[in-house]
Amino acid sequence: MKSKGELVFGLLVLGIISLFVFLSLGYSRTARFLPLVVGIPGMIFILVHLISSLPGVASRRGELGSEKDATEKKAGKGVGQKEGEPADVEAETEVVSPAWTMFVWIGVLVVAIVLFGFLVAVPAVVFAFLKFRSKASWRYAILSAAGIAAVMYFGFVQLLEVFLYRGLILILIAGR
Amino acid sequence: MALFEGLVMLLNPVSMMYLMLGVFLFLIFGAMPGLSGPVAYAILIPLTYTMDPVSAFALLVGGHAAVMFGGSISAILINTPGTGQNVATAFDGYPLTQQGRAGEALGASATASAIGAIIGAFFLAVMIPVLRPIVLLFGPPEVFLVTIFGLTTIAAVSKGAFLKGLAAGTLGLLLSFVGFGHVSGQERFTFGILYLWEGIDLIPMIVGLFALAEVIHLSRTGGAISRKEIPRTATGIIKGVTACFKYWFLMLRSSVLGTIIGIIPGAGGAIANVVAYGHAVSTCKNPDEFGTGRIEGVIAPEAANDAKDGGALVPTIAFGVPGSEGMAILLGAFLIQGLQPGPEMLTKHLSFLFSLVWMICIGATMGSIIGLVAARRLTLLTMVPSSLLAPLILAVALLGSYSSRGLLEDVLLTAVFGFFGYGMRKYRYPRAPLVIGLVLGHIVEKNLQLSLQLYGWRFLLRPVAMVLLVMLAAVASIPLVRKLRGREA
Repeated sequence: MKSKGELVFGLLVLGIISLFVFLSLGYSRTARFLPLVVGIPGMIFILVHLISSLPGVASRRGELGSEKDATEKKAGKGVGQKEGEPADVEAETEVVSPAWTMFVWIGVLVVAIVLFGFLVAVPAVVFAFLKFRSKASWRYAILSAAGIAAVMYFGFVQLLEVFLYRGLILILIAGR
Repeated sequence: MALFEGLVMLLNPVSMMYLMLGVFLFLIFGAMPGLSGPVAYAILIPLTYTMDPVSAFALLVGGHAAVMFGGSISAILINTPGTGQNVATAFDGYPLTQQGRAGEALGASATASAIGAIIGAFFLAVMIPVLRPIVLLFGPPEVFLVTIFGLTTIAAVSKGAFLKGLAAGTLGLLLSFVGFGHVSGQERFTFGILYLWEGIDLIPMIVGLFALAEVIHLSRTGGAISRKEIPRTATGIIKGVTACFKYWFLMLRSSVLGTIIGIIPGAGGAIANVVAYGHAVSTCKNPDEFGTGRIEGVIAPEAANDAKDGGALVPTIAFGVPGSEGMAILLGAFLIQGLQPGPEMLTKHLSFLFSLVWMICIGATMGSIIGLVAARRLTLLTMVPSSLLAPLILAVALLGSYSSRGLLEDVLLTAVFGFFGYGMRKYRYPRAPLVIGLVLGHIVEKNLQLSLQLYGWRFLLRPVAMVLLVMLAAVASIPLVRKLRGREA
């Protein structure tokens, strides 16, 4: 296990699969058949993975595999890295900005869409992102926001006649 | 003679103009995640009311021949399959883009798409009169076993992280069971949420899992999608085109596979795409290199999903049984034009039928030519700094995700899968098995339950099912045989 984060993610996957298996038990025979046939082995797979990558077990396996690892390191490859595969991106690339900032921006965009609808939220958030996070020029930020607004309005609303969600606030003000 | 008459029917300025318009529109619909072929059909069919049949189908069928290549463009460039039928194309297409070889991947995709479509159309032309007994051999047991073939791909795409891949595949299969059971009719895993009654839609999942996760990753690491400088010449594109001829036998096999899967009602293009990818992995000398940017990983799925169109038209035209959602809508277009699909089509409208074959051939070729011409400019997109591209990809992804069904919940689901997909990417869980599981899970369940109800476990003893079982066993034993050979060597 390389990090606590990986352990937590593995446990999350195990938790989700276990929840599906647990809920299946309450269904009729036909309805639970495949979820159980699939879910129980899935739980075993992820459990085996989690146990085998626990620090104690992993280090014991590491001792066994150290000879192979040394050969791979000598060849200039990362341990376990496949031929032709780009090296571990997460490990090797420089982190410009922590991932959580992007999580926040996605959250902001989704909340803005729920509140203000697509036609207002998307161009506004695109502009704000480009101007304040990417430090793009005013011209690029405004043109991009206007471009995406034009695509939405003329492409989706006018041409494809897609009903774009108007947002809770507009619905409250103007009614459906 | 009828084949020639079909071509003459199509070669008039009005029909050709509609065909070109259709190709252009379907390319855009294909490339835009969320706006797939069926959406384009639904929008364009009302426009065909006043057209003559040849022009109407030139717009619809000819145009549709380009949709798969359109879908591969976004799969290759931004790791977001434009349609559910381009899922496997992203597995190796995007790694090629990251290596600065987007042009090569697009060149290969365009060529494989065109040739795959032509092979599919050829089979449509040659086999329509003799296909009836063959199609009738495929019932739920056979569709179930063909889908199991697709599921074996999970192992193939999980190389290097086998247990994680199997866990992801399991999760995908379990997610496919959300909603009303196809046979049991019981509501499962919905937590009382109305939105989940219809199950988890593929589009929000793939958009979140691939596009959003990629945007998060790119904004974390900075730089551009392509980590290497893209050559200023068209060498890469030409290399991609020639790769198709280098791997011509794989392309031919994948096309035949796609056509056969297309013929089976209910199997669908996603299976063709995934099964062909799995076939490429299992027959390649270096299967471990798949997923890291092998050009065969683009050629095989793209040839198959385009070839599938010709095959899918067979049950639609010959028996009036649509093989997919798109074909169901197209069936409506036949009726609008006063054409009754069924055996009568083979006798009374044979020339028109052959004009459909030509439409597929010309439409796919036109789409690929447009794609090849535009490929050079498209690849430059991957050199734009991610800080400038990220909000635009984000906006387009959420918009596409919403517009596929017009549900706000799809936007929320996309965000959830985006965060989960980033976790999978970061901790090296292969994402492809999750998608394969979701795509194939409900088909497996529906056909297994139907087979059990119809025949009990004896369904495995049906002749075609037994042949498929032997083939499955052979495919499963390939890695073992390879290992043994490796030891001997």
